[in-house]
Amino acid sequence: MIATAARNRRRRKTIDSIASGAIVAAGVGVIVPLVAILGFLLFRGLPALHLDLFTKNPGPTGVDGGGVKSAIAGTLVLLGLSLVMGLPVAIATGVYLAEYGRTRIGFVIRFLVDVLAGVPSITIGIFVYTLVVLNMGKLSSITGSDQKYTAFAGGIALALIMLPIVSRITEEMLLLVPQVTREASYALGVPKWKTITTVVLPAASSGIMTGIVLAMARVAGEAAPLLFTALGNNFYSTGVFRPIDALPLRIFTYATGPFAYQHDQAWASSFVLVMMVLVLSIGGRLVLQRRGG
Amino acid sequence: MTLDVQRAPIAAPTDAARRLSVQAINLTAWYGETAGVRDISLDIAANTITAIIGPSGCGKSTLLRCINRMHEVVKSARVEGRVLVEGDDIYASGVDAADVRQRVGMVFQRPNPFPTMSIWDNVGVGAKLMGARGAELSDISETALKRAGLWDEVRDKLRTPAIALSGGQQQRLCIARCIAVGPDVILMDEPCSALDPRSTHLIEDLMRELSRDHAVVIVTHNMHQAARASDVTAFMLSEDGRGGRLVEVGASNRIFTTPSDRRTEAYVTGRFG
Repeated sequence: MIATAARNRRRRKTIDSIASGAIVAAGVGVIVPLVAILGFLLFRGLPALHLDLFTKNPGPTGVDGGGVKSAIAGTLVLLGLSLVMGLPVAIATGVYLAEYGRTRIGFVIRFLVDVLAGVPSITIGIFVYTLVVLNMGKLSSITGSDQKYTAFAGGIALALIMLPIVSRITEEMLLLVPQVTREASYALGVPKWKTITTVVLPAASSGIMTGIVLAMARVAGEAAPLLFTALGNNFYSTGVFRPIDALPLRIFTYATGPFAYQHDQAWASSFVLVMMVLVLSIGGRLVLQRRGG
Repeated sequence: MTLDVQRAPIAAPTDAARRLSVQAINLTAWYGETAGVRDISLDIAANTITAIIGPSGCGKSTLLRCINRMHEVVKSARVEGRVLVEGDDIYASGVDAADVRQRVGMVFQRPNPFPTMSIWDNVGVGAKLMGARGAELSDISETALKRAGLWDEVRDKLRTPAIALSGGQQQRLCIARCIAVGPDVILMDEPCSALDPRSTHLIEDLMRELSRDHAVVIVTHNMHQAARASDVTAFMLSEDGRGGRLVEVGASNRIFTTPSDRRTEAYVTGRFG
């Protein structure tokens, strides 16, 4: 009996150490690609990674030097536009799904939001092209611009990609707020909408912020939906109703271009893009931590 | 088993001299097709601590949640019969549940301060909603913390997160938050079941203090607590699975020494439940 027990214990210990080892290996395995990508980007992009990249605009094609200032500014503008247009709708949708969506209509909307999340980004680009880009002429009296391809259209495309990500994460995070917290508020005579805005949303804010950062990271790297909405621009422009450059578009153009400096700058731009996303997510977390969220 | 009843007998709620605060009249509360409580008629006097006791599942909490319309927060829940608070039918058409809850406050089983707010903001939430600002809001909040016996413990850290407090302090904070709204009635749903004996003792003293200005209704599993801390005890029982009914109600010292119903006697002497 005792011998069997000892053998069993040895066997359990062996299995335990194998399982632990496998989990650690999996954890390391996840980090390896990230470190490899960052290292590779730095290694290949380093030749072009100097101040000019941030302070100079693209020069004439084929001439060495220049930078991607226009693309960095463009990506920031596009991100800003997509946040302004996408976040209010996305968060409102998430609130609806979590707090009011236990109905048939809620079920249908949740399903459609999931479908939207699965729509390829190039399709969203075509949709915005048909709906917005081709109709910009009719808006020229309002926008004061005769341009068809605009940062505005690009922002709409990116907002549509953000929408399902942010609304579903908002829903999930609101559902994590315990019912007793809502009841504490109701019991004070606080109406439901006020409970949502003053108690439930703040309690879920750090999770929602993570979702927003995730969505920004996702759209910051999108080239496809911008190809025929924002178009890209060889000149520095931050106008909302003009074509605008963006890092993914610049990377696409340079990576497929014939010149060595273009390849270097494509690598360096990729590194900058990854760093922007990283800074965004770390910055977002720091701000929330300071608020105690 | 002897239960320690120290206070002089206090009149049962049927005593005409005592002002009624809450009246439940033929109250049946439904969850879908199932009744949580059935046909309850209960008078709750002002300035009195009323304990509701009974075995698990007898509908104590459901009855409590009908008094501030928290019952209807659960989907498919509804109520038949009437509940009067200070004479007003809280289920009459046109009555807003939010208004009812400002008059009938509630303290929950587990302390539930708002997790993202400071101690100070927690106390002020309700009063702020009702329009108090500036010095008025400060006065209300400070008074509520003092009455809840928490002021001296938290006066130097009012701006720190409420969830950093101990469980007992959090529960007293929830009581402060509740009385800051100025309710007529304070409902307590097993307020001490998650607390240590010292915190329990503090809360029981606090209940006595609160009953000077409010009607206090407490649901408790702890019969010793009901015996030592309440004036009136109501015993509930669900015998046929068709919803809890009120078996007996009377002055606590009588209920715990000479109950008139055999089922009450069996329960308070620990023979079941």
